[in-house]
Amino acid sequence: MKKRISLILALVMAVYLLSACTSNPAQEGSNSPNSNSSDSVPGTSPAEPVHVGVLAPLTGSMAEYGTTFEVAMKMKAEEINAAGGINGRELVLEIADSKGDQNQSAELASRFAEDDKIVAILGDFTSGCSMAAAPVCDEAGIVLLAPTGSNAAFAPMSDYAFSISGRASAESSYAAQYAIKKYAEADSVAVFYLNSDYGVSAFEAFKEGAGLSGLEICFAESYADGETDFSALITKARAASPDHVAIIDQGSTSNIINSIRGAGWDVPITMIGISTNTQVISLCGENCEGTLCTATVNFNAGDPVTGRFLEEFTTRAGFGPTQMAGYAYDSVAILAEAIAACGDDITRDAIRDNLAKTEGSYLTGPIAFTEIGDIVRTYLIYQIENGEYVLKCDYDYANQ
Amino acid sequence: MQYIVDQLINGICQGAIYALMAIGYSVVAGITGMVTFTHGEVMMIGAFAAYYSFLLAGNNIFLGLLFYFGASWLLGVAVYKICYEKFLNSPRHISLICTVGFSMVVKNLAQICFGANRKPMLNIIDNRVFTLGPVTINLLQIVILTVVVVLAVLLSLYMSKTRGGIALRAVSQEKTAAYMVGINVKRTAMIGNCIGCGIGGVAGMLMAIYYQTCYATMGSMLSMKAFSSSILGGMTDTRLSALGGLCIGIIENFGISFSSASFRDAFAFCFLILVLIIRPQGFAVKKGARP
Amino acid sequence: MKNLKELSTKYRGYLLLVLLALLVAAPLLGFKNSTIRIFCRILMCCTLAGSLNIINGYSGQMSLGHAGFFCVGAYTAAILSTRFGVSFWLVLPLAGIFAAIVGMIVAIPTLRMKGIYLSIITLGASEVIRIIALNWQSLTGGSFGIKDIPRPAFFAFTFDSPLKFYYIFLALAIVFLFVSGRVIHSRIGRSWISIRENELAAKSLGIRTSSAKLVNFMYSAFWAGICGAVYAPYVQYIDSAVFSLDEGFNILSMVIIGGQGTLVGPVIGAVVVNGLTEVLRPIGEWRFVMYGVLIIAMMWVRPQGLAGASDSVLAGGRGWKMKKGKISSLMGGSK
Repeated sequence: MKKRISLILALVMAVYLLSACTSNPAQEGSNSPNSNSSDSVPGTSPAEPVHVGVLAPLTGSMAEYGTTFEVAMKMKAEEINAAGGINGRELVLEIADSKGDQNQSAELASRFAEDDKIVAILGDFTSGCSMAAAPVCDEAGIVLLAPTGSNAAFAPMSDYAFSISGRASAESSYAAQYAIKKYAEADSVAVFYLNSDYGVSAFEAFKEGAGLSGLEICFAESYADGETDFSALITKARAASPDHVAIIDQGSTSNIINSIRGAGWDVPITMIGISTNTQVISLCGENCEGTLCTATVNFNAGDPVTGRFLEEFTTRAGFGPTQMAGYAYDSVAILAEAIAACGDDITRDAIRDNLAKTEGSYLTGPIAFTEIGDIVRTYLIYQIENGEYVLKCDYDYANQ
Repeated sequence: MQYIVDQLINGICQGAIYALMAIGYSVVAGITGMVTFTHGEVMMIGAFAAYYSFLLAGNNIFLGLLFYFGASWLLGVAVYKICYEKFLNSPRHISLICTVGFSMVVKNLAQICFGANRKPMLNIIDNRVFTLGPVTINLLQIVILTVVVVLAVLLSLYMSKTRGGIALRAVSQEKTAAYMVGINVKRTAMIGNCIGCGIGGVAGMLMAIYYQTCYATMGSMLSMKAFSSSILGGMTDTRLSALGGLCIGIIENFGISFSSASFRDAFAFCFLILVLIIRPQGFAVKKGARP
Repeated sequence: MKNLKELSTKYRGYLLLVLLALLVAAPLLGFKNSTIRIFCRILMCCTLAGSLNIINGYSGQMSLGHAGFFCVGAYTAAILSTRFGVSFWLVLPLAGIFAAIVGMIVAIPTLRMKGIYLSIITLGASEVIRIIALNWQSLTGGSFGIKDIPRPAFFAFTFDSPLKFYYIFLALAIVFLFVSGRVIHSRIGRSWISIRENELAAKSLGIRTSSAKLVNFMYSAFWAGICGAVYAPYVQYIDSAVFSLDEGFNILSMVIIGGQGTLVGPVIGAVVVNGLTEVLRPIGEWRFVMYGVLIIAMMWVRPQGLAGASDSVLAGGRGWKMKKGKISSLMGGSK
């Protein structure tokens, strides 16, 4: 009996050791037929493709966002390759599923960091996962460009950590001062925010912004991720009789709007952090009519650049893009430019230096990194009218 | 006063949905004698079946009822064949792990087949608000309460008046004795499991209508709530389980109204633990309830 | 028969030595850091699953909330070392003791219950612990978690790479298995097993089942807490999302797949479960479907787990109905 057990144990371990050694090449093999990873300095021969690692939650409860990442990033990569690639070399994205799990994110980042072919890493979706991967990337000296890492503590963690979503704090502060106070002329506001690093820091900034503009926060409450029933919260908020409601979240926004309208409460609403998400319109229908939102980019069907993105993304993914899709798309764009700027001698450090110098206008507006590696964004105010986002205030509204 | 009444109604509505989930759960648990973690996925499948039936055949709850009851019934057969039948006389943890594995399969398959994004289920029922003195209630809440009450009454009639129902109860109480009086235990257990799953599917459909959306991972936390509600009712008794669900819904909503929504699940579980400390068998009166 | 047994015992000693040497030498064979990280996770899971096995496998209670004790340990370690600068080597036992205290608090109301009632209480407690960690912002950092947890140091030697942590995890797993092996065969361990096989009979033999169960919970939680205390400085950043119910089920599936009620079972379970999630990675989003299918298949083929004894109540409810000759091996579990 014991012998058999030991045998099984030994066998299993042996199989596992083998698979641990081989699983990496197997994964690479599917993407690059003739690469020789053991002794190559990144990019020895100009004909070889450039490999970039991507961390994204393709399974689990955040799979929706992972899919967004995958679709948007692949789209940009294909465009780059169709236009001749990076200095004539093909850009290959190696997408790994982190399941939204911090451990896996760190492990996969480490796997990418050790793979000499991988020149930079994009991801992960949540700030938490990105923050778990950041120390690994810092040690290995490889760029970690998080398209949606809005936690203000992320970018300062490492010289190699970059974020392009803009700090969550800036947007909510803007929303409080300009969208709610100045544009909607509200005096008191009730705030619902997600109890996550994103939601809490955004709410802190919202409070600051409200304080600056004299907006009274008469009710504010957080809820746990995955909350489905908001009726109790809404009844509670209603008792405080605010002029306006602000929702700081991404996943549950539509649910809250539906519940507010379902309770027969016709208070004006501002959505923060979700931008011009067409899914909100499909999920809320008439309920979201008149709702305000702040955004960095508008996917406007009439616009040649964003309109094309909107159309292509929708056909590929089967649902409309959020600004996160835009960020994911742009992250590939700026990374590709940073790699291209290295010329033929692509090293991870050169990419880092070039990336820090990024300056230009992209799908989601102008991008230029600050000292610590995140960016300051400017915002637009939109309102939903007849099932469409209509631009109400342009980038310079704050200065008027 | 107005505020408290409003919160009470919120609590009752949510409790009613929990109650329906718990009824389904306790039918399953009572008859197979097994703990299941697939109930959340059964509800999810019910919700998706509802989504597609509304999409294809228009917004008719009662026409669709057959459809999603059927879908979750089929899933129930699968759950029974895969997770229970072989393990009816084995220790409970084996089928428990089976159900965990099964729920993983269903959840991930659903995510692959239906897509990861949320599906809209708008305006299945007109949004009308009624005011009766201090009571404000919308049509949706009325429909949900009605469906829950009707289903519960039908189920308890079936259980006490019909031959099949009595056989189900017999199997639930004592399998060996049921064999002896000539009941086909395996088949009865399967039917019972499927009835439980069918009710779960209807609960899922109501959830989806109430929150106007459905998505592949909606089941996980719900299944915990169904589990706790039915534990509260003593696992096997459908009426007490329904009471348990109602209690948890109300407690949660009052907890939220006096404290923070972040603690929702903590209220539910703390209440459950407190009740179990005082009454280790939950609300169940008789000693014979299955542990 | 006797000879064979002696031989296998002898053989087992050598085998263990070889295995140990292999384990110590393994990371020096030039594995990449990412692979060593997976080894670290496996070793950590060995201890975690092993400690859960103490409750589920040996005393036959069905605990579902092991992630909670793990969480308590990790947060205790993170808070003590970041706020008060307590050394890692002091934090380690403190985290264990604190987790054991929490374990006691959870266990006291469950003493009168068994089966599924106990399961739901442990499950609820685990979730309540996680919710507290998520909301007590001033202490636990709330949803921001705790970052920059200092790495342990031994005089001038800092444990700053996965390779060095590998040895901490390895030492932890070995100490755990050794100590547990002794405890299981002590008086208290035997009383746990007797509770599992037949609580009423155990009571009638004069075993104080309540206190035995209490110690059982505390002992298990203690090791889970220590695991957490090593985990926190290893990843350097923790937040409450890691300690979800899914994690608890993950640990439980390791125990059951490996085989409850044996010391090697959870070790095998940890290797298999963690190995599978890695090996299946190339099939993308299908891997959890596959994983679920494999779990079900495993339960169909070997319900007692890969290493489980087929003659315990854990395997098929046969328990006392089995052949007489086997009763001694039943009490021994892994002897």
